[in-house]
Amino acid sequence: MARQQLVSRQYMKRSRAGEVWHRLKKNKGAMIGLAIIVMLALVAIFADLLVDYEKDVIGMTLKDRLQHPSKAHIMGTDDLGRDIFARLLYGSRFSLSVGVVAVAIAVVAGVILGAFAGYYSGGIVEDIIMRFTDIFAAVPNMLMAIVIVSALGANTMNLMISVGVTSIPQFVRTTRAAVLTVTGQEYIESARAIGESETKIIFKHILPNCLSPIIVRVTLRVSSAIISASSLSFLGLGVPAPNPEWGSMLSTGRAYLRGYSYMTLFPGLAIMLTVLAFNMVGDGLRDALDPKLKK
Amino acid sequence: MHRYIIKRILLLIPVIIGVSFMIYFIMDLAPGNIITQLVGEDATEEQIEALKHEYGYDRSVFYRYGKYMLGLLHGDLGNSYITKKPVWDMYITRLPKTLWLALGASVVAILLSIPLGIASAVRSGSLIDNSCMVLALLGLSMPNFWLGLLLIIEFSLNLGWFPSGGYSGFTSVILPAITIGTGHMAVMTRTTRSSMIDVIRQDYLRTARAKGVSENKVITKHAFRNAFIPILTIIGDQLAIGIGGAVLTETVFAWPGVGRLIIDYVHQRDVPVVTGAIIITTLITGIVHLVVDLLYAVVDPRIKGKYSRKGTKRIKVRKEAA
Repeated sequence: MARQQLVSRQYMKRSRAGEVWHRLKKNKGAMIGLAIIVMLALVAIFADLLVDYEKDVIGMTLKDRLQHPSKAHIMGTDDLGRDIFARLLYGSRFSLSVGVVAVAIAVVAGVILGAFAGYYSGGIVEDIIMRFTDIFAAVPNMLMAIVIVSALGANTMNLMISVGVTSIPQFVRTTRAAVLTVTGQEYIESARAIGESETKIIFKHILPNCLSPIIVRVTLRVSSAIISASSLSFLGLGVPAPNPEWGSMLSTGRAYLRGYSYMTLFPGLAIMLTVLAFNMVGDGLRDALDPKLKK
Repeated sequence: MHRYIIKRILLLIPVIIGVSFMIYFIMDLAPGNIITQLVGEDATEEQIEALKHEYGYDRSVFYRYGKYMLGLLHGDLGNSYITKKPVWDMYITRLPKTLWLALGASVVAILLSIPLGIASAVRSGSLIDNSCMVLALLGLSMPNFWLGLLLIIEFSLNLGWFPSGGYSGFTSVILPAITIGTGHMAVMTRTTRSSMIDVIRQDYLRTARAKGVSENKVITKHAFRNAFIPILTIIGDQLAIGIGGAVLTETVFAWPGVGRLIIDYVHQRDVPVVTGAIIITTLITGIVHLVVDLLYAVVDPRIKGKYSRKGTKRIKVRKEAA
C-alpha cells in the first residue's frame, strides 16, 4: 500500500515534459540521435577551436592536392589541397544553422497563421490563409526553393529564407488541425466565459495544448531542411565558395568521381549522419508524445 | 462522380492563377532582369531602350503579367526570352524523359517496398521487421543526389554496367530511377508497414482465418486491400513529385528532363520558361492527386458515396507519412 502510494506520487510529481522525457529516455534510437545532435552542435559551436579557418578550411596548399585518406589527412584532401575532415567539421556550422534557422522561420510564420486559421475556422480569415497555403503548397518544394533563392541571390541568409518559407505550409496545416481539435474543448469555452482576450486565448490556452504535433513536425522538418539546404548548395544556389558547406563539397567532388571517390563519400556521410540523428529523435518524440500511436 | 471531377478541376483554376502570379512576380522582380542579361557592356542607351520596349520592361510588372495571363487564357505559354522558342514546345520535348524517370522510380519503389512493408507488418518485431525499418530510416536520411553519385561511382565508373549520365535508352534510366526510387521506398515501406499493422488486428481477418482461408490469401487479399489506400496516397504523391522533376537527380545524371529546364533558365531570369514550366507542373500534380482520389473509390467502393455528396475537398484518408 505504502509502496503503491509512493509510485503514484512519483508519477504525479512528474510534469508533462518530464513524463515525455521519461518515455523518450527508453527509446534507444532517439537517445543515440540526441547524442549525435549534441556532439554535432558542440563541434559546430567550437569549430574555431578545433580547426583554423584561415589555414585549414579555406587556405590552399596546392602541393597537397587530391591526396587519398592517410594518417596526415584521415579523409584525404580536396582539389585545392584542403583537409576534408577539417572542412567537414567546420561545415557542421552551415548545415545545422541553416536547418535550425530555416525551421524557426517556418515555425513562427506557420504556427501563427495556422493558429488563426484554426481558431477563426469557417470564416474569411481561415479562407484567406488556407487558400494562400494551398497555392504555396501546390508548387513542388524544391522548385519553389530554387526560384526564391535564385531571385534573392545565392548566399547563406537567402538559403535559410528560401528553405524556411517553403516549409511554412506544413506548419500552417499541422497547427490548424491541432487548433481545431483543441478549440472545441470546454476549458477554451470557460476561458472565453471569464472574458479573456482572443489573442490571449490563442497563445496562452490553445497553442500550449497543440505543442505535440508541432514539436514532432519541427524535428522531422529540420532533417529535411538540412537535405534541402545541401541540395541547393549542391546546385550552386546556397552557401557560396570557399565556405565548406557539405552540399557544395559534394558538388566539387562530383568533378572528381573517377579516382577520388573519397571526396564524395565523406561529405555525404556527414549529411546522412546529421539527418539520421534528427529523424531518430523525431520518431522517438512522436512515440513519446503520443503513446497511443506506438505499436 | 462527374460533378465531383468537374468541381475539382475547376478548383485548380484559382490555384493556377495564384501560382502563376507568385512565380511571375518573384522571377520578374528579382534583381538582374532579362535586359541586364541580354545587353553587352558597350550597349548604347538606345539599344537598351529598344530592348526594354521589346520585352515590355518600359512599363510596369502588372502590364507584363497581364499580357502573359492574356496569352495563357488562349492557351499560349509565351516564348522563351532566351531561345525565343515557345515554352510549351520546350517543356513537352523534355516531359517524356522526366516521365520515364518518374515511372521507373515508382516501379522500383512499389516492387520493393510493398513486399518489405507487408513482411515487416506480418512479422512485427522480428529481425526482418527491424532490419527493414533501419534500412528505411537510412533511405529516408540519405540525400538523393549523394546516392546517385555513389551509384555512378560503383556501377558506371567501377563496373561499367550503366552509363553515368545523359539519356540513351533503357539502360540509362536504371541508375537515376533507383536513385529516386530509394527515397520513395523508405517512405512507402514505413507507410505499408503501419497501414498493414492497423488492419492485421481487425476482427474480420480472424473471421477469414476461422473460415479456413489460407494465411497467404488473408494477407494479400483481405488485409492488403484494406491497407492499400494510404499506400496509394503515397504512390500518388511521389509520382506527382517525380513528374515535377527530380531536379537533383536530373542534375547528377545530366538528365535532359523538366527539372533541368527550370534550373537552367532560372539563372537567366527567363520569366516565361520558369513560370510556364511551374504552371504545367502544378497542373499535372493537381491532376495526379485527383486521379489518386478517384482510385480510392476503385480500391474501396465505400468511398464512392463520398464523391456524390457536396464536398469538394480531397478525401481525408491520408496517414501520417512515416
